[in-house]
Amino acid sequence: MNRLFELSSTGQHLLELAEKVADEVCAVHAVDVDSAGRFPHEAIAALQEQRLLGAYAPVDLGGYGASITDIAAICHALGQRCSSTAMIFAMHQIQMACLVHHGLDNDALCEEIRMIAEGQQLVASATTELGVGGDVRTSLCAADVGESTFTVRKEASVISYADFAEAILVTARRGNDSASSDQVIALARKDQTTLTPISNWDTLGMRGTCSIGYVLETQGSSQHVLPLPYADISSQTMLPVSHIVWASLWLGIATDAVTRARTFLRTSARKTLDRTPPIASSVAAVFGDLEMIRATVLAAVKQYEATRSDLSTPMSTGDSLRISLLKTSVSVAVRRIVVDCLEICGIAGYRNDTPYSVGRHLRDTHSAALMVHNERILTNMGRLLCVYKED
Amino acid sequence: MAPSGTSTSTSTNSSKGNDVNGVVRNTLLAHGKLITAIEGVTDEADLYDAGLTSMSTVTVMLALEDAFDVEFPETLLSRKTFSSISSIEAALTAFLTPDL
Repeated sequence: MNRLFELSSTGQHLLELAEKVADEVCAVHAVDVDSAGRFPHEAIAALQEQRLLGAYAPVDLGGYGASITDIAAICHALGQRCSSTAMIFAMHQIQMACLVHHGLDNDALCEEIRMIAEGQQLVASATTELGVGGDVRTSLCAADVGESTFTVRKEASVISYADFAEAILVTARRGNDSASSDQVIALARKDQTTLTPISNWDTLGMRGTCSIGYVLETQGSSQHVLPLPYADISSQTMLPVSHIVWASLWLGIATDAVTRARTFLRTSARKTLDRTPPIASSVAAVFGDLEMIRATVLAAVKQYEATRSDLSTPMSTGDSLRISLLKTSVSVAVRRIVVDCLEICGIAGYRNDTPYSVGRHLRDTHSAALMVHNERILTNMGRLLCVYKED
Repeated sequence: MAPSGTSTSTSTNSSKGNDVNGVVRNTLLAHGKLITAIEGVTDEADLYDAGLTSMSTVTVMLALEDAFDVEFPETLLSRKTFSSISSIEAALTAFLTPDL
């Protein structure tokens, strides 16, 4: 399997476990998960068996104490075999990163992290809401935080894999009088939460993520409201980690498409020994394009790891600009690469029953530009560039 | 950011500080999209609690650049700088009077 990141011995070990799951389980069920639009039970169970769901939790709380680089490497590996599994793993680890980065000072949240890691529980996310036009930094619903409990009722337009998760991180306004941008994020326990489905998930791609909308009603311990404002958690952890793990798994999908195109070339070359197949130059071009994204993702992860050591210092404007645009640039680039691979493989790539099929890759990578729409991010970053002056 | 401007930012006997304070308040009124009336926002109050967003800080910064006819370094655009009127004022004062 294709590798990208330089890993510690722990990371190396975790990647080997993940590659085994990817090759032996994800690869076997990916087509069925996609065609049936069902949750990848087998792959998630295999990740649980290898204790990878709790990987980001500290060792003393039952995890592996993995780094963001380690998590990105796993997403990259899973993405090469099953996009939906990789996306579910990635989204779960984003929630883990929020809890681990911003919850360790709180005993009750530490206990939750321990329960999640030891029980290999899946954590989902309810950040989007009906009526705010997809802007996760705006909430209509408000948390009602009392002495001992908090309650939230949220019309969440999407909560991916909620039916299979045991906890959900939910955003809401800090209180009834708070501005729409003055948000908190809280851990809702599934057994204290009612979920009423309001939509289904029958999509072009990423069909196994089961990203259904729900009305969420929860009551939990007020200790489970993360102390830091969501604005800070978002800018320091949720946004950068999301963009890194997404970019890594999208790269994984594109990498597998390029692998298929390269296999197609080698097969063709063996049939025409005395001349180079005409597609060879296109394969060389797409190989180069893939290399460019690899370098971009690698640089972004390294940069985040360098700043992550001090979470109390907010990310600089330049760093947050770059990490935001990582998502928009990589999402478009992977889609283009898969289209190029389709053109290289021709009808063999277009068919769904050959070793060169890239239809699923094409459909799955189309989600990249649309989930948190690139246009919104580009508009916001364009606004920021009105005052940003550094080179 | 040098904290040199902080001492004058909330006092009433510095005309320089008051000018900056007034401009900051007028700019927040016009572009901050606050949910609280600007008269009710104290110099130390948390502007994010009052409804300021990261995107409205960009508008406020552009308007301040226009008001003072300068280009501020983007280090001023930090969430911390825009957390209160006094911290914006302190940052602006330090930038506008670099030799103090």
